[in-house]
Amino acid sequence: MSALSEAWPDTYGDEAKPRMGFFTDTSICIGCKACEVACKEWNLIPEDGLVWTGESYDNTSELGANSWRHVAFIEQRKPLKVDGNGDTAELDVEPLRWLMSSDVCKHCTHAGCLDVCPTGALFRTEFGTVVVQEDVCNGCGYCVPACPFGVLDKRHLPTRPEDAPLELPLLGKQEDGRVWKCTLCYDRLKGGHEPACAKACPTDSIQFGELDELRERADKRLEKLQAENWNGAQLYGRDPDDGVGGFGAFFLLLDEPEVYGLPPDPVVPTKNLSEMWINTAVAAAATLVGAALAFIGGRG
Amino acid sequence: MTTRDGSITAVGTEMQSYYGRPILKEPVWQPEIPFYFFFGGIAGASAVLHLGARITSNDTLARRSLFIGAAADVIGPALLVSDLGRPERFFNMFRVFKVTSPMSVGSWILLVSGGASNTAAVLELLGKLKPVKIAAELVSTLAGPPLATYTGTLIADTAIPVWHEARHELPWLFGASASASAGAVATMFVPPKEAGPARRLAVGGVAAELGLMETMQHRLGLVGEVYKQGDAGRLGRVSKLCTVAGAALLASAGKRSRAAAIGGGALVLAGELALRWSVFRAGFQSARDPKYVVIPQRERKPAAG
Amino acid sequence: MQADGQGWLYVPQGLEDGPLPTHYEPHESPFDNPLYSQRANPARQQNEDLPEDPYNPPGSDEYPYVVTTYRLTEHHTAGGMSRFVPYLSELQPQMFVEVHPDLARERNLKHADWATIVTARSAIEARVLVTDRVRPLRMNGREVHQVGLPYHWGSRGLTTGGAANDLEHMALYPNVHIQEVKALTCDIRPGRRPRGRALVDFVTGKRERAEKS
Repeated sequence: MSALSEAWPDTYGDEAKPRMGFFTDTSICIGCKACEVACKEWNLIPEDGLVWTGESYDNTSELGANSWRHVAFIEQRKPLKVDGNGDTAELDVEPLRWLMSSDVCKHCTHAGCLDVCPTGALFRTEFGTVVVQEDVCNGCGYCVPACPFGVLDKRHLPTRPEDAPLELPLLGKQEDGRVWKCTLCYDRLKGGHEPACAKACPTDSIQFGELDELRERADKRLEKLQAENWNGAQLYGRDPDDGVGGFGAFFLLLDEPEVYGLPPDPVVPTKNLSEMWINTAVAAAATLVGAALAFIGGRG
Repeated sequence: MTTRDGSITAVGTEMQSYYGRPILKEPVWQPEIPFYFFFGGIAGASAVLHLGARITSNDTLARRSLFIGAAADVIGPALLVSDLGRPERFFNMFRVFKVTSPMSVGSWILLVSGGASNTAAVLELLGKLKPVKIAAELVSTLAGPPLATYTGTLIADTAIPVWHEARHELPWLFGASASASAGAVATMFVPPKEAGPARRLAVGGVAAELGLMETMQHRLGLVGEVYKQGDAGRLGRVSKLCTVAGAALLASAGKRSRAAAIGGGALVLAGELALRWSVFRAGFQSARDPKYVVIPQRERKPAAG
Repeated sequence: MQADGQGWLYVPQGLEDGPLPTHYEPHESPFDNPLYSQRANPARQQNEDLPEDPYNPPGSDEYPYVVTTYRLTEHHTAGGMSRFVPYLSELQPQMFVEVHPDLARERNLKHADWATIVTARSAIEARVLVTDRVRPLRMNGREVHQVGLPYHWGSRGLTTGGAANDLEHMALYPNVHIQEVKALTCDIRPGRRPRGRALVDFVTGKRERAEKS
């Protein structure tokens, strides 16, 4: 249903570009967090909390209004590779592996945030990415619970200058109050550059390019890893038939999505839109009928 | 999440998560929102009550429910605007009309309803332009049931499991609650011998709402357990107590005693407000625990192996 | 490299030790040298008469664990340049110590709680991170636990914390005079470190007990 309200790329006419996205190959992520820093520097995002979590080396914890790239760290008593029988292929009797993955907004084909945005602040760009227009967003917050991945959040800023986090131009007395998320560096794309995180990534774990090409590349990479018996290697979000129509930013993971804090089978809420509206209409009619019935029995 | 020996090194467990952290984000909506559900419901259902009263020539009930609905139709938008992160940009709601967004559709419904009900109320007070007033009343009645039910669909159109999986029940639940509330408030402001329809609407609404809550929780299964825990659980119990007590009072003594009508009406209102809050808080609890996302999703899509 | 563009192995001057490498145990090592009866490098520079730089007696029960120091990606050297940058400080916002679950059990250390790491020089505190990644050394039929310390913290900055360098001693490699900071011994105890006079007493107490035994 959501495809009906999104006419990309048709509405862009000549300005339409091929769909761009990310392929994040977590098998080569080294957990350096250059992506997190590059993103914050390019987009002037505030520092969002000096809190030590003790959750391995992850002190960012989740994506949010002020974290648009988040590197996850998972230490597991599981082997890096398994043989054909599923047994440890390594000599080490105490298997240990350290999974690292840079999470980001998925720029879904059917994006829940975009569908529910009542102001039109969220829109699909000519590159097929999903972006919030910060001069339109009025902070209604509907996109926040509508995202199956918990990507978006409202940015709260303190109203007193002395409480302001560093690294952000002050807005004077104004609380920010708007929702912010990864823009896939829309401004950089317009200039013909790759997003800041992809540029900074030293291992090319974050690969940027045309989505079709990235999908082919990912398929080949998965084949290679499976041939080498990598434990748990799987693609996440590559399939255009999944619940959000495939991700614009998809992943190669080394374990189940929920291990990384990702939903195993995300579905865009508006998938059931027609049935929801029909149901609402019937419920509304029932309310009318119910009220009419109340008039049986006289005035008193 | 630490393992038994206190280290952070994860061992394979039945349901895995990332340190027990939530997958979804809790709504950023403030207390204004459940109050809006409450007042919006009163506005929507009062408009219908009003028309019925007009048709049956019950002028007292007609006038009072018109004013109640119009007042609620002013309080509602004020609450919504107050909740916005950038309240001065509330008019951006009218940049677009999107059927994929219940909030977009609802904003327009609210605009129409608020405009119509308050036009009718003002004209009623002034005693002028009767044809315009009648037209406004009709529009407000047409907008009423959608206004009373769309908010259920609004919260269902999110990824929050306890809301999304209840998408079939929520508009009905909110419609029933709205009917009960509108009936209750009219019962408090209208003499008993003319408040019959309002009283019946309140009692009937409560009965429907209670039945729908049970059905919804039963159908939700694991995901519905938040209604028995925390704030949602406490508010749900308070709601049941108040609505049942209020409805019982109205049904037994509301016809002969103004005091019972007021007391019963107030109890029903308190109960229905608590119900809106219970559903609201349930959403937060549902977002907070990753199991409500992982377990149902794994049930329909088993792990790769 | 010599003036004629050739590298020399044997040179007339400037070489205090070498040039060919061999194996010696670190100055404070709890293990014997498996190759020679000479445990540690005989040419190493030591500060015998510096009262502020006493050594842990090797094999002492007061300092039974090995401590090593290492970098984190997020900070830079001793942290003076990275602890004032918000984007880096928020990535690693607190000094922590990494220990194996068995060591945590042995010394009653709780993940995410505090621990105090002490040598003959000083004591610092750090948050505890219990992890399988820091494995015990298994040599010569013995198992000795390791304590892992990042060395990026100090007393100033957006994030402050114990300086691992406060625990070090000065036993220097003779050619380039670099101190041994990757192979020390220590003790680790649960809880935050004592402050003021109590800190001095605590460190001195352990040192005196170590020297006596």
